[in-house]
Order: sequence, then C-alpha cells, then structure tokens
Amino acid sequence: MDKPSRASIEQRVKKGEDLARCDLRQANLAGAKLAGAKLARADLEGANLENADLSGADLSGASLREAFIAGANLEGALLKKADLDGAVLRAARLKKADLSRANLEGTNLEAADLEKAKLKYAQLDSANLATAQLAGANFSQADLDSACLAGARAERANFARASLSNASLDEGNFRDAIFDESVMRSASAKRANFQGASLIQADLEKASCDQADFTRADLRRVRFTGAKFGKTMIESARVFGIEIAQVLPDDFAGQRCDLSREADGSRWVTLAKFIKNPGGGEDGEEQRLRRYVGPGDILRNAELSFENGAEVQVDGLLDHCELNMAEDASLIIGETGVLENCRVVGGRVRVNGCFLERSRVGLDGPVELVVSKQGAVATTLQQPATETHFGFAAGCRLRLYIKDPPKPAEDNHAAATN
Amino acid sequence: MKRLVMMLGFAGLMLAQRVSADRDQADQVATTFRGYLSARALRGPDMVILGKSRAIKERLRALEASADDFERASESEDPEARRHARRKRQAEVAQLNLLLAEFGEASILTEIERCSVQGKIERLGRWLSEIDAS
Repeated sequence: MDKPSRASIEQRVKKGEDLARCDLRQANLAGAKLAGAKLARADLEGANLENADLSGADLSGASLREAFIAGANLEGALLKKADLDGAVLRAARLKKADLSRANLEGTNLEAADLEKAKLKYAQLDSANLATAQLAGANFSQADLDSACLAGARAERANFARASLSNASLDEGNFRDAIFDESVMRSASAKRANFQGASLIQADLEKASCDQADFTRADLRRVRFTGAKFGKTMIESARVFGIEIAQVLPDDFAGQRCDLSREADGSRWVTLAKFIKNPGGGEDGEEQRLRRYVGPGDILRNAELSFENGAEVQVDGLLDHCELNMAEDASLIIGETGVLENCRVVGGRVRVNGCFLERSRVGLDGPVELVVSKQGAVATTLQQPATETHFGFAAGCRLRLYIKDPPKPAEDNHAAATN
Repeated sequence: MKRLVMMLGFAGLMLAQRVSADRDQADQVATTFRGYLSARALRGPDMVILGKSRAIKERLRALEASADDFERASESEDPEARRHARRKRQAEVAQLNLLLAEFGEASILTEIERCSVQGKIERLGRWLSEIDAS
C-alpha cells in the first residue's frame, strides 16, 4: 500500500483526524504543518520532519527512531514514552514538551530548546545536549550516563536522583539547579557553574571539578572521593557531612564554608579546618559532639549513648556493641568500617561499609537509613512510628528484613482511660 | 585542510583544549580523521583504475556490518555494549561522509544526512548502482 502523501497528511491533521498508529516510516514531512496532530503510537521511524510544525502534537508512544527532526517546532508536544533513539533534534524547539519516560538514547539535541520540558525517567544515555537550553527542565530520575551537556544552560533544572556517570557538564550553567541524590561518578564538570545549586547526597566520586564554581551550593553529604579540584570555588557552600580527600589545593581548601547541619549559617569554617577535623571543631561544642573509631580500632561489648547533634564515624570494627542514638544523632559507617552483632537504636544511619546482625533486630527505630554503593547491610530493621526514610544506592548489598512501624496503641489507651 | 591535519596531530586532550570541546567528542573526531588519513595514504593506484565506486562500496560494507552489530547490541541489556556499538556505527558514518566529501559528492552527502542509517545504506546502494550502470 502506498504511503500517504505529505499534502494528504496535512489535510487530515487540519480536519482533526486521529492518525494514531499511522505508518509513516521514512516519510518526507519536512516543513509540514502538523500542529496539534494526533499521532499517538504512530510509526515515524527514519522520517524527515525537518523544520516541521508539530507544536502541541500528541506523539505519545510514537516511534521516531533515527528520524530527522532538526529545527522542528515541538513546543508543548506530548512525547511520553516515545522512542527517539538516534533521532536528530538539533536546534528543535521542545519548550514545555512532555518527554517523560521517552527513549532518547544517542539522540542529538544539540542547541535544542528544552526550557521547562518534562524528562522524568527519560533514557538519555549518550545523548548530545551540548549548548541546549534546559532552564527549568525536569530530568529527575533520568538516565544521562555518558551524555554530553557541555555548555548547556540549565538554570533551576531538576536532576534529582538522575544518573550522570561519565557525563560531560563542562562549561554548563547549572545555577540554582537541583542534583540531590544524583550519581555523577567520573563526570566532567570543568568550568561548570553550580552557584546556589543543591547537590545534597550527590555522588561525585572521581569527578573532574577543575574551575567549577560551587559558590553558595548545598553540598551536604556529597561524596567527592577521588574528585579532582583546581581553582574550584566553594565559598559559602554548605558542607555538612561532605566526603572529600584529605589533601586539596590551598586555593580551594582556604575558602569558608557553612558546616551547620541545617545549613542555617550558624557554623562557619574554612574547608582546610573542616578536613583536619570533619566535626568542624572551631569550638569545644563541635569537638564534644564528634566521635571517631579509626581503621584498625576494635571496640567490643560496649554500650554507648549519643546525644542530639552527635556524629559518630566508624572506620574500624564494633563487635557486640549497643549504640543508643538520639533522634538527631548520626552514625556513619565508613568504607572500612564494620559493625558486627551490634544493635543501633534510633538516629540517622549511613552505611558505606558493613552492618551485620542476622540473629535479631540490629537497627531499631532509625530515622534514616542510607546505604551507598559500597555498603552492605544484613539485619532486621524495626521502623519507628514515624517510619524510616530509606536511601539505597544502586549496587549496594542488602539482606534486610523491614518490620512495619508498631501500630498506635489507641485501643489500649482508650481502654485504659475508660 | 592543512590546519585541520595539524590540529589532529594533537592528542584528543590537546584538541579538546584547543577547540574548547568535550574530551570524548574530541577523541572521536581525532580518531575518525586519523583513520581517514591513514586509509587515504594507503590507497594505491586501484582508485584511479577502478574508480571511486569501489572505495565507497568498501566503506558501505563496513557501515552495514557496524549497523548489524548495533542492531544486535540494542537488544542487549548491557548499556556499555550499546554505547560502544553506537560509537562504532557513528564513526563508520563519519568515514563514509569524509570519503564522499573527498570525491566532491556534495549532493548525495546532503541527501543522506537526513536519512536514518538504514536509509543511508539503501540510498547509497541505489546511487552506486546508478553510477555503475552509467
């Protein structure tokens, strides 16, 4: 059967006809006027849509594999779950387009306008977004591994929980963007602007941050292990719980940062002082709250209590210990740290090493449990009434039996008051 | 051209710095162009005797093979295998484009730029048949 001509397609779109599942493979629709077209699940594989007007079109679930869509207008278009693998969208206009869960692997989006576009859960592995306009776009939980975002303008964009390993962010503008809990291992962020950005709990292991600007950024609990710094700006950044190398360039380490847990500016230190003493001990109070079990240290059959604000880091071995943590106390098990046959009550627990307690409840009522890629946890966890906040990095090892929070004893209370 | 050849004499990193480009992209450009230059240097009198179609056919066969590899890799769950196959296919497309540019075939080059890889293979196949027939 002959493929419909460009004129007939334009005519049908003008009439408002539904072209869902239409076979338009390899069709030449360059410059076609298809605004508002109903093309859900249509097959446009290899089609030429150069400079076409597809604004407001419904292309949900459509196949646009290797289509040539350069310079096209797709503003406000619906492209949910569309397959754009290898498509060319160079300089395309995608403002406010919905590309949630779309497949954009290897897609060329160079200089495209994706302002306020939705790309939640989108697959952008190896995509080219160089010099693209990404301001206010939502990339949360998207896969951007090995993608190129060099020179992208991504102010206020949301990359929370996105995967950006080996991605290039060089010279990009990420001012006030959100990268919370994102994975940016071995990413290159040379001369990138992260001023005022939020990178809480982001993983930047082995990232290149030469001349990057993190001024006023929220870097609490960021992992910078093995990252490279040279002429990097970190002035006024919030650094509570940051994991960073012990040796850093002077121009970097000399800058002042906010070490307060709540990032409220109540404790200022230079990064150099913070590295020397991660507790931030500019005053006696900080020193008092900091506890450290170093590599090679062994503590057996101990019972320890920690007050609010305390931070305990274990890089050695704790065996048959009981740790009673106040709600706002933190326990960090470092990469070399092991807690075996221990019970931890309450607190915020971050596991980069091992926590092993197989025979009973090992984690009793933690407010938060975060296990990094290197972390291993084998135990039973009893949630508190307020429920535990969990964070598990891909690759972590878990044998975790999670018990529901105890049911509120309303009946008993009612019976007692009666 | 002379300037480009000089630039590509640099390693990928130096090229990236020189043109302010992403390191991966610079590496890819350098590898592609160096491959093209060495293939050109090795070309014997065959090119003159048998014509350009033979050289293009060879590159087209290489592109077909890398396209098949990519199809197989895209079924795989391994993102690294997909990345590698995609890069290899891109490199083959670039080599073919360079060859067409060297022969001054701007018209077919512009035409296939808008085609999918399969579309490029089919269109070039037809174009070569037309050349052979004429």
